[in-house]
Amino acid sequence: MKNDLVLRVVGKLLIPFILLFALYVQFHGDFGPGGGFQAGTILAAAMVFYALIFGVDIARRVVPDWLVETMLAAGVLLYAGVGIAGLLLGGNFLDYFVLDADPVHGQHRGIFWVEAGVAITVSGVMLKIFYMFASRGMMPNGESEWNSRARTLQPHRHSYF
Amino acid sequence: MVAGLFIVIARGNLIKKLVGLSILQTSVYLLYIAPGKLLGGTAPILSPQFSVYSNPLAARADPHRHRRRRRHAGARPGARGAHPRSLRQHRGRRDHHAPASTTRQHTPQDVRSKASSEPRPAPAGAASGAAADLGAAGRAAAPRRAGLCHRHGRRLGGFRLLRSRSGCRSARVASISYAIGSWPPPWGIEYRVDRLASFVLLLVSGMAALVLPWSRASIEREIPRDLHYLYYAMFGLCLTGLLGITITGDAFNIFVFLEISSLSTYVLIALGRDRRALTAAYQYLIMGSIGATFIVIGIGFLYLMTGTLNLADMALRIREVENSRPVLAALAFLTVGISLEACALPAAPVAAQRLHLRALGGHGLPRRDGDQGLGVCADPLLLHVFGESLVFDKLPLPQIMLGCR
Repeated sequence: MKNDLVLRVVGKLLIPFILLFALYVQFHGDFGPGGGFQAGTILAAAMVFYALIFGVDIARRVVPDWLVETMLAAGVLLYAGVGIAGLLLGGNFLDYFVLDADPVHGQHRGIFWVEAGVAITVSGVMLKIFYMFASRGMMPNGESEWNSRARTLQPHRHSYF
Repeated sequence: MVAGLFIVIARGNLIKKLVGLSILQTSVYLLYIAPGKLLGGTAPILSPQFSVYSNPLAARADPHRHRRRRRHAGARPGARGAHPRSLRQHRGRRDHHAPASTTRQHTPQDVRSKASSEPRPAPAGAASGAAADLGAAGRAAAPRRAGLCHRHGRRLGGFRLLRSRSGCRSARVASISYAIGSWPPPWGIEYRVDRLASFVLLLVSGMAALVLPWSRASIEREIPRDLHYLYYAMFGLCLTGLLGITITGDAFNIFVFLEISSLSTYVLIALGRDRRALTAAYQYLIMGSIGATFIVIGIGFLYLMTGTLNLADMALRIREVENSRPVLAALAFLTVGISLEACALPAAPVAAQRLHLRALGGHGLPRRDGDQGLGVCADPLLLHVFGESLVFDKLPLPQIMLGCR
């Protein structure tokens, strides 16, 4: 769809605002509806939109696979790290009260980092799923994964029902 | 909801099944969002404008009111002083089995109930009547009293060692309670290890420790080399879920851990070299999602009726609304849901073969020792959840389970 002028212009115009809206949802999660999960999905949606217009290959150049896979793990590690920080500072697991001298500030700080971890992981997972669907199981050498699997299959008759 | 369920059951097309499943789940979420909507309500965030909203249904099921009445009845003779006539009249009315003489009887229950609920010692004869009265209430309120012991329990680092007194259902058993995030148990998520939970935890982790080295050879045989890391990651996730179901004391947390373990189980099944593994995993996904949806409906009903998600708290509060229709419906949903999960969770094809899931593509799959091991421990584990859901003593479960194997 790269040649479609309207889509390209509108997409370029909209994507920054989608990203901004994701950040708004992320940080508004402290006070109302919102939070890391929704923000992560919106972030990923912006990237999916970009990939739909300009093609998956160009999107993969913007957010490469290694970055997506790092995001998957980094978010979970950030979440767990906040929990362990609570332990190290003398509280229970995921104890936000001890993260600052003032317990209310500690709560703010804890939920900020935890939500950041959630947003990173969720957007990573969404992008990963999209990339896998978009490339339809194509392996780097261009061969379909299912073909390579099928070669190793021993054929036999089967019925599901 | 019914339309979604109908589509899932009646349609053979896998995509249509998935559509039906999402209709089913969306309707359940809407069902819970609808009564939860409060005009002008916000998320429960630390803020000066925030005020506590209490569920009217839960207020009706408040156990404190019940106990307060009892305690008041017990304290009344003491407050009236030592007027013998009023005492005897009172005792005769409330307790017909009390001896006519006013000799003091030091049953353990008497002493305990006085110590726990009456700050001032009441006169001798009156206390006997009050104690008999409280004894009846005491049995009902035993878990609550255990809950009171929570707060007086010794603190060991982050853990709290609970020692419930005699008379509680779990007599003289120390249980460990851990408040995640330092929110105290009835409100926050509590991890709790009592005697049964420690046994099941030992069973599950022991099985995993046995199975993982044992299954090495069959994993080499069954799974392509470049997918091994996925197998071990999913095994770890599944183990996390199973251990979490056992250790948590929060009803909704059980659902979350159930989802973790069952989702990773689907991946474990789909990893096989056999092409049919994918379809089998898909069928498990459908069955498991229906089961999980039923479980979340049941938990939601229980939460609506009792106003609590903490299992110990719920076990106490549910006695007041035990025979109301939503609770019965909730137990029915839980029974069906857990039964579905118990069939879906044993990823072991062997177990699936013996159950009705044979029709759903569970047969002929490659045997994988790892899955079997975890599947075997999923069964007692779900029974453990069963025990906590109060259905255990009402269903002929041993007969059902024995008949089905």
